[in-house]
Amino acid sequence: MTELVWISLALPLAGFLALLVLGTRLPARGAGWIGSLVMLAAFVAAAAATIMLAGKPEEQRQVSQVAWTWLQAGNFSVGLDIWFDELTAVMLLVVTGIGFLIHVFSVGYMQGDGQYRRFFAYLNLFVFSMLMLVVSGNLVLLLVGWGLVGLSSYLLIGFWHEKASAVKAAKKAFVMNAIGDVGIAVGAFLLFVELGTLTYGGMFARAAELDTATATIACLLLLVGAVAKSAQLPLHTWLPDAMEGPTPVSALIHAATMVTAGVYLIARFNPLFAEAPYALDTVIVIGVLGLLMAGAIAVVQTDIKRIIAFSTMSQIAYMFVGVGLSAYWAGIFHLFTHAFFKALLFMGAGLVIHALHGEQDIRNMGGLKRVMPKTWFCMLIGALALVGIFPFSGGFSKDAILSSALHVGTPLAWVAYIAGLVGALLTGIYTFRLMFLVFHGRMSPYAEKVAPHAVEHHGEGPRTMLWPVYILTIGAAVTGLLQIPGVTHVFFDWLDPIAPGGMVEPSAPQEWLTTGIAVTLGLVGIAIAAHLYLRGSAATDQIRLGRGRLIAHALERRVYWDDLYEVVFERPAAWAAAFLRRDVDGPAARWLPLDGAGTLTAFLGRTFNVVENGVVRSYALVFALGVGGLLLYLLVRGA
Amino acid sequence: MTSVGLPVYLGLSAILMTIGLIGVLLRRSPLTTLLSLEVMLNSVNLTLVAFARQVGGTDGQVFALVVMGIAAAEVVVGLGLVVAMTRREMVLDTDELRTLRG
Repeated sequence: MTELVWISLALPLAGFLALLVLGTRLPARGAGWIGSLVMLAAFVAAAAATIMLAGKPEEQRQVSQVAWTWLQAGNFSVGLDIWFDELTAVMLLVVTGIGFLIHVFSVGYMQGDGQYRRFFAYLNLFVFSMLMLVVSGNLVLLLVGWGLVGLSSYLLIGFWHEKASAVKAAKKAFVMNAIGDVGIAVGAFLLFVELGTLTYGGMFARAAELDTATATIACLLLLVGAVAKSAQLPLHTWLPDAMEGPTPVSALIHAATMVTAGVYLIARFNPLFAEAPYALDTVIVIGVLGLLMAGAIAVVQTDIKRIIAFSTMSQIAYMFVGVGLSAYWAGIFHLFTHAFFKALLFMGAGLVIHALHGEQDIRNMGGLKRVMPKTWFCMLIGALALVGIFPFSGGFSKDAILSSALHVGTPLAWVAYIAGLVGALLTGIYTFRLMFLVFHGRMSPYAEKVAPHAVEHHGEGPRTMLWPVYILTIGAAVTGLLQIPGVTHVFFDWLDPIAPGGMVEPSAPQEWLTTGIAVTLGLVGIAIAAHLYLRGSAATDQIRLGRGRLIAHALERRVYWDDLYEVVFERPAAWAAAFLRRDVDGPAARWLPLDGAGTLTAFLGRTFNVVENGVVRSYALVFALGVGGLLLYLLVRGA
Repeated sequence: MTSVGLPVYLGLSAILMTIGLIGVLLRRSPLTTLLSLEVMLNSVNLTLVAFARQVGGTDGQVFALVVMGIAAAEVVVGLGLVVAMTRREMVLDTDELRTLRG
């Protein structure tokens, strides 16, 4: 069984290396299929491993294996080890399964791009990094995966490196993630000092020995990493900019895998977080603020991918609320369903962008339902799942989180509950604003000019792009049925053993009540969106109704986070650099004999240059005289 | 067969070394320079063999063989250069060949 996990981990790496070595010797399409096939194989291996894991009795489902000792210094030892349990299995399936579909989608989407092979090499590298992150058996190896994910996402966001904005976005994402890496690294130091080990088994067994203060600090440091990777407040600003990357990248990294790493981290370290209630409360607070803010910002964005990006941030915030409430299963369940419907929405957006030759502004779309009915239908399913309309998947998982808040019942949980319901309303508004402005109403002049023509010639997209979308549509529609309140219990039962401290499980009436309220609010949101956006053409300014102008401006500026960071970090740094250059470096260069070293070297060089005249015989003479002198000296001394 | 003493060998070696050195220092033809170098190398070989015979070991002989091998290689390169220069109709004068001066 562990062999299969190793295989699953090694295949994307092998794919990456193969693409790297073969390079242009491969035909472009071949590169895409190699990348996709290793992903399929990795998914099959992961699925087989999961089935074998499920066949074991519940107590034996936490398997770890050490390949070899990687670092050894004193009593500090890090092995290349994996940890395979129910949580790992879920993550493994999501990453390889959704990853495979996105690879296939990319075969069509990236067709004609000159850098096709490089793209697939990066994609495979990314998947390998992500798998490394989820299967690692100790914190150091997790940090390795964590850093590699940051690197490969940097490479993918900046894939179109001739675009200055893409390069800037990639750098931003990298720096933000580096802050998170530092948090985890420092947390790892602290945990090693306190516990003497960094393997999961060792740490979790001794978690109870930590005093509350230490556990809280360690968990908050881990949370810094989680927040950076999952694009949560206050390190979220990189996610909307990261939409500069190709759309499959957005689907893979910014919907299904990378941004969920923070949720995974918290769920994985639940025995530590159980010792640190304040850290868990912090997770809830971050989640509540994030889901409201991102949901509100999504309502006014005009770039189709940025809307989905803020929606992702909002949904990840729901997951944070879930894991913060110790309802780890609910958080991971939402992660699971979200991977389907959000990858679906991104791919649907990719189809639209593809048909419109790269146009991403929803004001230039509208009325596309007529020319792209298949895309419309798939995205409609995805949108309904996102809003959480019964019986599509997102509803079950989101309501599981919210009803857990109802079940916990503390003041903070009530705040989370109310905020989550308001978030459901916002989700309905922004999701269907997107749907109505893109697919309904009147066509914009640009779409009129381009879309019918493109669809007439190429259909809605090549088969490699459509089939993954169909499969995800099915997933988005049915995965929620794994956990129908009071009927099925698959997800809860499967994940129950990962939390030794137990998990919050709401009762079926609580869940149905929450579902009722949330679905109603979602429908109200859809109705508001219909009222505002369905009638006219693609006019988005209607949100700016008189009194709401200030709020609208704040939302359009994304609540000024970018401006805040510019004022707090960017401007002082630029000012300090300018000051040092003008008032320190400049005068110093004028008044100090800084070129003394150069002058001295040049002088010495000219002096000794005389000897180097190029005449071989003179070299030989000097050599002979030298040897003669040396012999003479030896003779004289010997006498 | 009468054996001559060590001083005779060393004397001959010194004479050969001096001839070679003078050749290298005075002659300007690359060909003659190489020739003179060979003479110097062989004077060293003579010394090695003479001392080895005096001491009674074989180390000196072995070393002399190595020197011969190296000398052969060096001559190949050197003569190759000379041939190449001749083909390009360059002046065969070491004093004129000073393009690579520092």
